[in-house]
Amino acid sequence: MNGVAPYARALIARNPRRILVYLLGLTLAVGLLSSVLYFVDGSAHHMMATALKSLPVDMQVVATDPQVDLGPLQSFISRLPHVRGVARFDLATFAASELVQGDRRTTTTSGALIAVRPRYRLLFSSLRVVQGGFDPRGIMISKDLATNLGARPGDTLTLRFRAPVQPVAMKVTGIVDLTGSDLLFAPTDPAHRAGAFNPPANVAIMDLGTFRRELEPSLAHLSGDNSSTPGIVSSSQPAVSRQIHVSVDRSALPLDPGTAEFMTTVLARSIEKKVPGRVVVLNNMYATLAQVGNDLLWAQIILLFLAVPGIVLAGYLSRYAAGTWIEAQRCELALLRARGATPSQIVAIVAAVSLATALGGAVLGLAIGLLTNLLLLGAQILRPGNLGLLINSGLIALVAGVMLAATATFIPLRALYQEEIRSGRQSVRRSSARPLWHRLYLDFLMFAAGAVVLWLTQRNGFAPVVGGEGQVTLSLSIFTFLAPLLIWVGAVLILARLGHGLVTYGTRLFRGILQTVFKDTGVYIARSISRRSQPLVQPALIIALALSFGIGLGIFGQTYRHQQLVDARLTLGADVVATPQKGHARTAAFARQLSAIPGVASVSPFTHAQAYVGTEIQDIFGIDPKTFLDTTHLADTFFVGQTASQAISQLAATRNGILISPEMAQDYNIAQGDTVKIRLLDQSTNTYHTTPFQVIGAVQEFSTAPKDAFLVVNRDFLDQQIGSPDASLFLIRTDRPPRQVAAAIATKFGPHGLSVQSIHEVAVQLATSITSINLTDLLRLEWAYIILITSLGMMIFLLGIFGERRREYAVLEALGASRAQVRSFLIAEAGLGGLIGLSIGVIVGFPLGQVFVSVLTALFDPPPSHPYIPWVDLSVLLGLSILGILAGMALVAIRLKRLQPAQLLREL
Amino acid sequence: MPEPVLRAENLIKRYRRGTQIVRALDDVSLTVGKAQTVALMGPSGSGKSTLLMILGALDRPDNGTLYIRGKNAADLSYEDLVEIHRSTIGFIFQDDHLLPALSLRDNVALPLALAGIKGPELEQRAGQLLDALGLGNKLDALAGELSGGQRQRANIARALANDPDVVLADEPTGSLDTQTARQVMDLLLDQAQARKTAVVMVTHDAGTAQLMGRILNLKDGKLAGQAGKA
Repeated sequence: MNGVAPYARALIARNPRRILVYLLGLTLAVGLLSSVLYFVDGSAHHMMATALKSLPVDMQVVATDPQVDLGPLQSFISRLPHVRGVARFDLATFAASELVQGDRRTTTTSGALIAVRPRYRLLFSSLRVVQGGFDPRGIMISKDLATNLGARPGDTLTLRFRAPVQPVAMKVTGIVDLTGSDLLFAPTDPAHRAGAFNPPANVAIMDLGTFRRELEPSLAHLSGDNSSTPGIVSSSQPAVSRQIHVSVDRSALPLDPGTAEFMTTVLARSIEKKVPGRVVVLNNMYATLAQVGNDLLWAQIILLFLAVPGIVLAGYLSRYAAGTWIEAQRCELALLRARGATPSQIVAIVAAVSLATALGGAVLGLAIGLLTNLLLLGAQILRPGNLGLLINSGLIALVAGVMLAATATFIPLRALYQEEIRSGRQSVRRSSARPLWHRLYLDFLMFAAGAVVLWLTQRNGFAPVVGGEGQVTLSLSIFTFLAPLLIWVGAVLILARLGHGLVTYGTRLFRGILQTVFKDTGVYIARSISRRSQPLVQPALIIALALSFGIGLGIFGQTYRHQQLVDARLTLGADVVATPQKGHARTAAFARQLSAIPGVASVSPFTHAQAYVGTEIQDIFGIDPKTFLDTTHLADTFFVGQTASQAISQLAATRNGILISPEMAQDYNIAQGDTVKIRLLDQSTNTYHTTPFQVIGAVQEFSTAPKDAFLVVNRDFLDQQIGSPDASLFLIRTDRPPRQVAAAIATKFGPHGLSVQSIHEVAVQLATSITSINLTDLLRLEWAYIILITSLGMMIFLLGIFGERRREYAVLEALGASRAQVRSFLIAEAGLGGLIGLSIGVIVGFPLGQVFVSVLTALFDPPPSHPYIPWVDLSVLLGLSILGILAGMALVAIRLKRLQPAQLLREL
Repeated sequence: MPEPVLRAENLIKRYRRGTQIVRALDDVSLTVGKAQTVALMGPSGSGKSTLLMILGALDRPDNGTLYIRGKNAADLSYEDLVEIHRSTIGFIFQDDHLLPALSLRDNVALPLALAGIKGPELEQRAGQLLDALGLGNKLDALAGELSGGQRQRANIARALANDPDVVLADEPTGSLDTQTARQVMDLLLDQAQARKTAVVMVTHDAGTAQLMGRILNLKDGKLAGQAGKA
């Protein structure tokens, strides 16, 4: 015998179909593994993007030397790689602001003055104009400053500075919603930056050119003591903080947060090196990326938790497929031995075959995995910066695939050969003994262990915890993931044991059915199946495990999506919200116009104003009780001591009724029926006046205000008190997809100054860090593989049965069985296996979904009241699984048609 | 003169082995009359089993004609061939090929069921046959629980279940010891004689062949000669 390769090649070539089936199984396992690994890497990018989205400024370059010329540095930075854009940002303080309206003078305490060019807002998201606009001749003010002064666009505001700087009077041209104050106003020296501070509420924004002409020369002469305005710059800094704000091209960031962190550090250093010691670079991305790095670890655990069972199933399928191929190698190995091959030669041939098939399957799997992820995540994963991670994931999947193949082929083949030598027989029959789990009652043990772990984790509060206020923290026990896995496998095995028992001992039941279906041969089919139920349990198990996991994931995914939308609806207020801009109609007549748009089911006008409770400023919402419940969703849990409909009905019945927060009730010792006095701004007179409201209950969450303190009153009454009949926005419920209706409204009214948002946009915006992991795509990926596993599982099982029993089928033909009668033996077995698998899958899948939701409940915000079942999706999953099983049966039926009894009966 | 059960004329069967074409059967003709017993002898690869498969209509010759009870097998439809396997030809294989998941009674009753026999008669006939072959106390046993001799006796019972005109046996005693082989052969021939069933048997064993009425020798796919008792 010369050379291993020709024999290895011959072994593969002589069983092309079985090797193909085996390769399919292996491809599936490696494909899913590599898909998930790529996906996890892709999720890192997604998580980074989500976390960075809320970052108003990526880097702040702060001049520490008053003499440094920032112009050339700005040009230098703008040319650096990965820099999207740069803009100047000067920051000073004012000692007070003042507004005179008639004989009324309102003054505030100190504040911050920002000076930027108009194009600053194109690069950075920290200044969002909510009213008016940016005019170089005027000034914009923050919402808080506007509230404190009662200022509106058009008013003239005076900013006062420390002596000897003269006051400046400027016209208010816009109101700004300021985000990222924590970063913009934090001390710029590293020693104080990390410490706690209160960002200023009073902020004015003016044009940089105007600032330099009219203010900077005189401000520059002030001393550096800015202690009167804490949090703007440290006491050691000049009175005017001159900065360059840098926007980094986030699409250029590597997928890995660590690498991205390093990249931004290199960028920061290269800026500092240009003017050493004269500027400080504040890398705001660094801390965010470090946080993402921590969250990513847990996100990866969650992703793997959801994906590993699928990978294990695909691996099991691959192992099963390998088993059918190995069975076919018995004769080949015997022949090799008969022709004088030494044991080491045979082991070498077996190793070569295993390696070749492993590599083939693994490479195919990698290709499939990459293709799947390209479809799901887009071409970004192929960017040069991500190739390292791609190769990394690919190598892990490749090594895992080769190891799987080695376990699946080499070890059993070698064992088979050794068994042959030991027994001295030419054939080794597959053992039909009960599997280990069956004999050791591992099914009951796993289920019980899962239940105990679930009980313990729920009791001790081990659960993933996502902190509030956008800051994600996790206190997560790995045991959390054990419970669903143990319960899933345990429950499926218990039901498989029952199914096995039913098939073995319930022959009479099946006999009648099979006799009806298959007539004369039915009784023999029933008896044959009852004595050979063990092989039938294997594919039933694969189908059951795959389907139950798919159903469980589907329920978890649907609940997750539902809660995301609930969160979005809570934040937004309704399916769609239309916010009129300045000058756009806001009246009840406009609400009727909105109602006429196709897809709009109901419209409810909503007034949002500010109110003073003592010295505390709070949001006050004016709702229309008649239409509010028809338009938005209010959970009973939002209210204390009454249901949502009871609270809204009571509000409708009490014209000056008010719902307050439980904290306010506690702080001020307010009970239901008490009267509270609220200070409101009358917009017609621009003066504050006090209005008594009667407390009708407490509310802790409300549409449009998921977190902040707020008050809810009747809109008619509120409008009367603030002297404006205009609604701030219109809440809209749709009976068509919200995105579609939002688009229709925007098309019709958008050009005239109506801003329209749907819950889908908000859901995307709300996702932060760990909760932003792309579960929807992961679930889609898992489902695709589950359908493949189910259908391929049945096909591989049937081909396995066919390979094992083809001589029996040949004997049946020799005895006078028609092809249809022979087929009935195969179909009955496959049908029963499929039916048992599907039934167990459905029975276990639903409670499994509940367990998933229960253990990962901390991922939901707000927590769901019950799991949500995606009936349509599950029907599709079930339908495709059944189709897959039928396709597998059809394929094997074709193989049966080509049966050659003469050849088979003459084989050893 | 009665119609022979099987009549083969100038059978040729070729196989491809690598790039070579091998003639497994080369112009073989033979006739098997009612209740005749024929032994097919020859070295390994001489074409004995190929001839048996063609005579049993499980394979087709490349050239030549097979007549089964006077009908050209090439002209028979698929349904006719199924019917012939049910009623005219019985098979005994060397590796017994009993269906492992069925009891002996079911193994014997299955051909009867395939032939459309129903009700109590079916199991009664199977039981009687097994009883006649000395397996009356093993009706519910599975093939795996039996000795080689018992399995072959069950195989004979299954082949005879439908009272076929001819039983084709491929080395039925090949894996049995001499004494058991002799018992099995005696039972087969006794039953065949009682039922006027012809038997065509492939065997390597000259002693077994001597029990048959006629011995045909195959060499390189050709009939090299024949010997007969009468």
